[in-house]
Amino acid sequence: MSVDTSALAPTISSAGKERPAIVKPRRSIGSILGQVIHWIVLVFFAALFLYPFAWLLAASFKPRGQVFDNLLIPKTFQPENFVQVWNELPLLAWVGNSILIAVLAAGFVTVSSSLVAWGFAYFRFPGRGILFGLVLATMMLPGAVTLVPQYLIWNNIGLVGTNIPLWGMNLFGSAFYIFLQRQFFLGLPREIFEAARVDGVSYWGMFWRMAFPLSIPSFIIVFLFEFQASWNNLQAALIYLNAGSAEGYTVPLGIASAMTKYSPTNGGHGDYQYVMVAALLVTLPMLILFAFGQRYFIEGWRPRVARAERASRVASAAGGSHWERFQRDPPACVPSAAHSAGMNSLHFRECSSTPCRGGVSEVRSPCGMVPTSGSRSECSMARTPRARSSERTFR
Amino acid sequence: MKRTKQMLLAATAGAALFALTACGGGGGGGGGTAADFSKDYSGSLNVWGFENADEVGTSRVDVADKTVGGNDVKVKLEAAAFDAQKFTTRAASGNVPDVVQMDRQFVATYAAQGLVMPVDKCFALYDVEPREYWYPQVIDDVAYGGDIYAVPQFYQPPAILLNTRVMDEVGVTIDDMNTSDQAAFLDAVKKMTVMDGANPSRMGFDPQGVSKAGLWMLSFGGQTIDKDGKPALDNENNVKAIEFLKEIYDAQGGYANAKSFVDSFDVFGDNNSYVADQVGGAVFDQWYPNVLTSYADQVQLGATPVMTQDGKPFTVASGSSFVIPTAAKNPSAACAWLISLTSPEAWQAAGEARAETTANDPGRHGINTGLFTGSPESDQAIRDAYVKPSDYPGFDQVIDTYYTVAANGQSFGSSPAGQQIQTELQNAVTSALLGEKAPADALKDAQDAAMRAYNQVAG
Amino acid sequence: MANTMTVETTAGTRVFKTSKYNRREALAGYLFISPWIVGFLIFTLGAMIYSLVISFTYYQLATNTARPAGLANYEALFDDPKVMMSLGNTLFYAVLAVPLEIIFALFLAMLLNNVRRGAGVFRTLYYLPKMTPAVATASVFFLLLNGNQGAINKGLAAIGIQGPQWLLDPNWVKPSIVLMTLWGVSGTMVIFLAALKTVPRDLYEVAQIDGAGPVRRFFSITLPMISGAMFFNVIVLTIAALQTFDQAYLLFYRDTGTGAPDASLFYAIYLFQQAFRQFNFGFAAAMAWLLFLIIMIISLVQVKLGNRFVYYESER
Repeated sequence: MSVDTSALAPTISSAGKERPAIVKPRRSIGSILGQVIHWIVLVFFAALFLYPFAWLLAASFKPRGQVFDNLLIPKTFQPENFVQVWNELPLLAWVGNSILIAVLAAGFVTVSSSLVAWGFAYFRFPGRGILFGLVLATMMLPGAVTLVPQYLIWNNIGLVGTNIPLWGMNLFGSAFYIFLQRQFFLGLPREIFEAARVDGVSYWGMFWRMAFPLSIPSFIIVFLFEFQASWNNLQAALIYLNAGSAEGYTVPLGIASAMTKYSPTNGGHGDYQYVMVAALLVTLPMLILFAFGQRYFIEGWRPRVARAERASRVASAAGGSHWERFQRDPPACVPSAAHSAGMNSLHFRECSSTPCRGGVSEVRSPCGMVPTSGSRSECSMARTPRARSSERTFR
Repeated sequence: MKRTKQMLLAATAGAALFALTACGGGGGGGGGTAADFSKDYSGSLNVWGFENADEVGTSRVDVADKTVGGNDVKVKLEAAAFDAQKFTTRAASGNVPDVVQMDRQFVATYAAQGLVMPVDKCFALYDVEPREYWYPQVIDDVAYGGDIYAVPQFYQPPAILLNTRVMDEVGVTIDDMNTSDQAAFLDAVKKMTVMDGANPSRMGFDPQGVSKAGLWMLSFGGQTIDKDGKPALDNENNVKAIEFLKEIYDAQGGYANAKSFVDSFDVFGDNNSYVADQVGGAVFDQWYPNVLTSYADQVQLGATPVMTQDGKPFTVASGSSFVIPTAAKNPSAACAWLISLTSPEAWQAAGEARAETTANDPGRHGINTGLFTGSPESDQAIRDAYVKPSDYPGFDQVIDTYYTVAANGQSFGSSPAGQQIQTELQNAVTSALLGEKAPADALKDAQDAAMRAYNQVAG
Repeated sequence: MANTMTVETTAGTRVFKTSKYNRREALAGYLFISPWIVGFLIFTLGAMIYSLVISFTYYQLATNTARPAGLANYEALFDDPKVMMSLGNTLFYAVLAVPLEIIFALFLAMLLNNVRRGAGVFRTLYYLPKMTPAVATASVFFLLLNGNQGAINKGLAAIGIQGPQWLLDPNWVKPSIVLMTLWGVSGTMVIFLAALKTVPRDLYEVAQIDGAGPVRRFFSITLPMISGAMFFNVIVLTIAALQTFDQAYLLFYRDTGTGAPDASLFYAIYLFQQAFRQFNFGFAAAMAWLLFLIIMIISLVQVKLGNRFVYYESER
C-alpha cells in the first residue's frame, strides 16, 4: 500500500536466485492460457490481501455515516478524523511506549539469546546436551501454563502496572532465538576461534569481538521478529498494563480500549472511522519497518526450514542424546540476507569442506565471513594456514 | 519409539524436580478496619475514575474542591475509567487512591472482600440521612450486609423512547406500546417493522435485550439477585421475559440480524436511528433524549415506560457511585469531598451549568432534559428551576415520562458476585436469543456459573 | 553424502578426541548460558511449580492470601460446563483452522513459487497482512464482517449469496475467526515458500519424462520434499490454534457491556477471564495444566505421526 515495493523487489529476487527453466517453454496456446490464469489468480489474491488495507484507509477518511458504504474512495473526504483522534487519544504516548518496549524486548532478547547460544555452540561442559534439550523443550511449553504464576511473581515485586514485565523476561533469552543463533554460530568455522584462543583472546573477546560482529545478519532477524512480536502483543499488555494509566498503554491495548471507547454498545458513539484512524496509525510503523527490513522478514525464514525440521525432531528427542549427531549435522546456511547486509569489506570464506543445508540451488553459498578491518587478532586468526587454504576474497 | 521414551524420561525428571522443590505460596496482608471520619482533615486527595467530565461534572467538582479547599486539601483527579483488574491489583499493593468512582453493581463485590469501607459514619458526620436524600432503590444498590459502602450519584432510568413519525405512519398509538399486553405490543412492533429480505431495514422496536435484560426480567416480576445477595437467574419469570424478548426479535428477523442492524446505527450522529426512521421505538436511558435535542427539528419523539405485568410503570436503578478504599490515606477528606460533590448545592451548580449550556447552544433548541441525580430532592429542585416547556411538545412528553418513571424504580439488589451475575446474565440472554440454548437452559447454566462465582467470593 | 561423512570424521578427530572437559572452558560455558538458567529457574520452572502449588489453593489477589483447596479446582474443571465447552470450541476451531491454513498457505506458496516475473512484488503484497497488528485486523474485520452492512456480505449479495451473520450466528463465529486467520496466513506461506525453493528441479524433470502429471508430481515429489516444513507448520499452527486469544477477545470479550455467544468462548479466553477478570487464580492454574496436558498429548501424537511420514534427507 504505502510501501514502495518496486525499490526493494530486485534485492529480493536476486536473493532467491532464479533457476534456469528446465523444460524449454513451448509457446503453445495452452501454456499461454495457463500463464494468464496463473496471473489472474495471483492478482486476485493480492487484491484480496490488500482490500482490508484499502478499506481501512478509505474508512479512516469518511464521516461516520459513510463508513459502511464500502466505497474505497470516500464520497466525503474528512481528514479532520485524524485531528479528532489525535486530540482524543494519547496516540503518541502509545506509540512511544510500544517502541520503547519493543526496542528493549528485542534488544535484550537478541543479546541474551546470543550469549546463551554462544555458550551452547562453542563450549563443552557437562550437561550441555540435557540443558540444550531443556531449552528446546521450553519451546513446546504453552504460554498459558506460566501466565498466572508469572503475573503473581511480577505482582509480588510490585511491577504490575509498569512495562517491565513486557520486556523483563527477555533478559534471560528465549528458546526460539537461542536455537536460531546457535545454528548460526555453528555455521562459523570453529578453527578461527581455536586459533584466536591460541593467540590469547579471552572467551569473552571471542564472543564480543568475533562471534557477535560475524552474526549481525542473524541478530537483525531475531531483533525484527521479536520487535514485531512485542509490537503486536495484546495479552501481556492486557494483563500488566491495564492496571496503569491510559498514557502507559501500548498500541494494541490502546486500540482495544479505543474500540471499546467508540463502541456504540458501551455508551460510545459508534465512531468506527476513529477506530480506523487509530488502527491505520498503528499499522504504519509496522509497514515502514517492513519496507526497510522485508528481506529479513521473508528471507529470514529460509534457514528456519532446516531448523524447523531439526527443531521438531530434537523436541521429540528432548533428552539430548541426539546432541552429538545434532552437532555433526551440517549447519544451516547463513541467511542469504547476509550478502546484502551492507558489509562491503568482508572476506567471504567459502567453506567447501562444510556444505550447508541450504538446498541445491545454493551449493556454493558462503558459510562464514571474516572481517578484514576488524581488530588485529581477528585478522591474524583469519590467516591461519588451515583457514587460508580455502579462503577467497569477494569484493 | 526411542525418542518418545526419552521425551517421557525428560518429563518424568521434570516432574520429580517439582516434587523436590515445591514450596508453599501465599503471604500476609488483609483488609483494614473502617476508619472514623472526622471534619478535621488536611493533606491531598486522590480521586480515580472521574471520567467524562462535562459541564455537570466540572461544576460539581468545583463546588467540592472549594469545600475541601477550606482545609487546604489539594484534589488530584485521574480521569481514566474504572477497571476491575486495575482496582484489585492496586488494592493488593496498597497503592490506592482515596476515592474511586465505579458502577454501583461493583460495590458489593469489594465490600464483601473488605476492600472498601462503609460510609454510614461519613453520612452521620454530615447529618445526611441516605435513604431520605437518595432514592431508597439507589441506596439499595450500594448497601451490603446492612451497611452502605458508597456515595451514589446519578440515576439513569430507562424507558421506551418512541418514534411517533413511524407510529403515525402505520397507525400505532402510544397505548399499543404497553409491554404488559404482550400480544398487542408484538402486533404494534410487527406493524412498524420493515424487512429487507432476512434483515430489518427498520426495527419496529429495539428492546436492547442483552444490555437491558435485567430491566425486562424485573418488569416480569423476576429477579437477578435475591435478598441475600445470591444469584437468582433461574427465576421462572426471567424465562418468560427472555421468551418475550425472543418473540420481539424473531418478529424482526431474529436477534443476529437485528443486532447487526443496530450495530450499524449512527447513534450520536446526524443520521441516527430516530432521524433516519430506523426504529419505531427502543429502550433508552434518560441521557439519550438529551443527545437527540440537537436533532429536535428532524425527529418526532414520544416516550412510555416499560410496564410491569400488572400494568404499572416500571424502571430499574442504574448509575455510578464513589467508594473510599479501606487502604485510603485520607478518608476524612474523601468523605468531605464526596458529601459536597453530591450535595444539593453541587447539583444546583450543575443544573445552572446545564441551563447555561442549553441557553448558549442554539443546537440544543432550548430543550433542557433535566438532570437525574439519584436524589429526589435535587431532581425536583433542578426540574422546578430549569426544565421549562419547550417548542417541542414531543420532547416535553418524553422528559415528563422519564421524571415520572424515576419514582417507580427498583434496585437489582447487591451481591458480592454482582459483576459476574451481570456477565452471566448477558451471556445467557445472548445464547437464548441466538437460539444456541432454550431460555430456561441458558438461565440454568448461567445460574450455576454465577453460583460458582458467588461461592468463590463469599465462601 | 560421502562429502558429509569426511567432514564428520575430520572434525571428529580434531574436536572430540579431547574427551575430558576443560574446567576453565566449562566454567565459561556455564557463565554464558547463565542468563537462560536463571530465567528458566525463575520464570519457567519456578513459575510452573508456583502454578502447580496455587492450583491447589483458593488464591485471593486482593489480600495476597491462599487457602488450601485440595483437589477442588481440578474437580471444578469437570463441574464447570464452560471448561469443556470452551475446550470443545477450541478443538473445533483448531480442527477447522489448521488444515485450511496449511492448504491455503501451501497453495499461495506454490502460486508464488511458479511466478517468474514480479515474484518479489507479489511476495511483499502477500506478506503485508502478517505485519498488521491483530488489533488492527480485528477492528477492520469487525466492520467487514457485519452481517447487514459489511463489505463481505455486500460482496456475496452481489453474486446472489445471502451471507450469514458472521459475528453473531453461533455457527459462523468460528469460521469468521478462521477467515481472519487465513487472511494473515503469510507467515506459514513463507516457510512453505522457502521449502519449495529447496526442492530440486531435476526431480520434476525426471518425473515429467516418466509421464507423471502435475497431480502425481505434487503428491510424489513436492509433498514428500517439503514434509519437514509441513510438519513444523502443523505443530506450530496447532499449538497457536489451541491458544487462540487475540481475535476472539477483541471481537467478543473486549467490551464487557455486551453478551457473547457461547460459540465464541475459547479456552484461552475463559482462562484469561478466570484469572484476570475474576481473579480465580487457583482455578485458572488448574485450567492451564489441563491445557498443558492436552497440548502435550496432541504434540506427542503429531510427533509420532510425523516421524512416520516426514521425509528427512539425511536419513537416506
